[in-house]
Amino acid sequence: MARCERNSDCSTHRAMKPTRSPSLTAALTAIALLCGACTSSNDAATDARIVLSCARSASQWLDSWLDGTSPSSYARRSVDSASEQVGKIAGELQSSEPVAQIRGVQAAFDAARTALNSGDRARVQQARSTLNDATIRLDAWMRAHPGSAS
Amino acid sequence: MKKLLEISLGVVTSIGGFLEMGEMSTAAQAGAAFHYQLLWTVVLGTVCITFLTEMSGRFAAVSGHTIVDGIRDRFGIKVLALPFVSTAIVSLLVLSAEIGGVSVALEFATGIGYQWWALPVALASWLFLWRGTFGMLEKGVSLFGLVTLCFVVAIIRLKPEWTQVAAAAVPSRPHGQAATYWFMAASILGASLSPTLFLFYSSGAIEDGWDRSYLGPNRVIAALGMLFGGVISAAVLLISAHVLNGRGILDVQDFHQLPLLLVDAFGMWGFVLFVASLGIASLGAALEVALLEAYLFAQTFGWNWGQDCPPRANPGFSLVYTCALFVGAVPIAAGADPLKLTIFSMALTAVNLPLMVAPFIVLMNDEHYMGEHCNGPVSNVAVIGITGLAFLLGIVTLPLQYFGGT
Repeated sequence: MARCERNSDCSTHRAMKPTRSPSLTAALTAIALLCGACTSSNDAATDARIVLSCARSASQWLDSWLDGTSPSSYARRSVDSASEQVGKIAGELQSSEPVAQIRGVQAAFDAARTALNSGDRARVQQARSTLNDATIRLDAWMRAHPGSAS
Repeated sequence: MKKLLEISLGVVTSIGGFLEMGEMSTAAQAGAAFHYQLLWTVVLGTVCITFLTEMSGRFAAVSGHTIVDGIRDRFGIKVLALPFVSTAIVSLLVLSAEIGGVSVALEFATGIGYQWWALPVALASWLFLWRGTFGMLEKGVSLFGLVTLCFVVAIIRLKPEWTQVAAAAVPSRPHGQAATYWFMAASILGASLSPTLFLFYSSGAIEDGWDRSYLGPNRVIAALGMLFGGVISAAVLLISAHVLNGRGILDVQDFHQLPLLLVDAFGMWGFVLFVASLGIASLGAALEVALLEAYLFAQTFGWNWGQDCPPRANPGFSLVYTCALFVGAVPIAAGADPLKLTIFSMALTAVNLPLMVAPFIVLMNDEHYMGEHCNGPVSNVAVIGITGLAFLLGIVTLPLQYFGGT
């Protein structure tokens, strides 16, 4: 019985809710749009930062392969793993993101993977140079866009 | 002096609680993203866990009970049920993460994917627990765990700005990325303040036969053991700030990035030392957490327990760590990302902490158990502070995991 009364109170309360005023609707819409914009901008910055970190890590792995300071299997697996992550991000790019720069890094990763698999020192050096160039371009984009500083 | 040599219990507990996959990952992420700025979380975590560990040792030495045993004895099985279930589940996830840590170290060493190592690691850990004694675990992990001191040597060789390091030991607000900053602060505290750590310590004190004569040594063992873990965790964060943040690597999303930490300081040996440190620390933690699962079940249900007895003397206890190790290996063998699993289990650890700490506070103030060794005002304030902090962590960590975490 008590439960029924409480339920009916609830529905009464719902029925008596004031209709949303136009100004409230506008404010909510504005907040939603702002949040959406912020999220989108944050996502772009986060994605670019992750790709940049992957690219800089890959430079280290290639260096360690060239210097012989780590096993070659480690460098190969690390580059493969980071390349997969960059590929995922590149596959879901939005217009607000540095599409060309991220695709450039992705291409440099592909070159690095091929070079490491071939085991050819000269090709690895070339791939490292390509990766550095792509990293510099992405870094420049991030510096040019406030809120996504590297 | 002989009692002080039991520092190995403090060190082995510390390795399981501080130096495992969780602390290494969170400290490395924090250093990469925020340079030295989050050092204060390691300092705070170390102070808090030192208090909790000292209390759990004092409780065991004075009352002759472990914490789980004491909660069951004082409040009954109904009150213990919730902390028991949640701690058992969270510990299983942490065990998976640690098996992942050892497997990743083996992948680095051999080039064979970490998934293939999960079951052999579980089998080797099981053999160690099945055949070994508690003393072997304490001494073995403590001795081999000393390899993790390479992080301290590395940071000294990297010559950080010590004035900046000292300034970072004081809490400060972030300059940007506030949500990520607080998420990482919560993760580091969650990784440090694990209930696994003090529950294991109290069981270890009973295994080692502590009595009231250990009250003094307990203070020293808890303080030095936790300081050992805290200093090395701080070193990981500082090295990450130097090596990763210094090169513009601001995100650690992949466990393959971690071995880069020691290469600057030691060259080729840096890779070897990192692999050894990760493997030994994670193995120590896996053994500790598997044993903790067994302690938890045995003490909750009143079974025989003790790592020094042969398995046939306490079959339930042995069965639990056997099952825990093999169930824990399954997610890693199935290809779960060890780094993501670690971060997730650290967040859950933080949520779980108050469930075990709240009844523990009551026990520490109960004269029936503690006599004249009840908590003083300093200990009480510390414990209430820790509980408040843990509660805050529980509230903050999981939403941030989704909205602010990297």
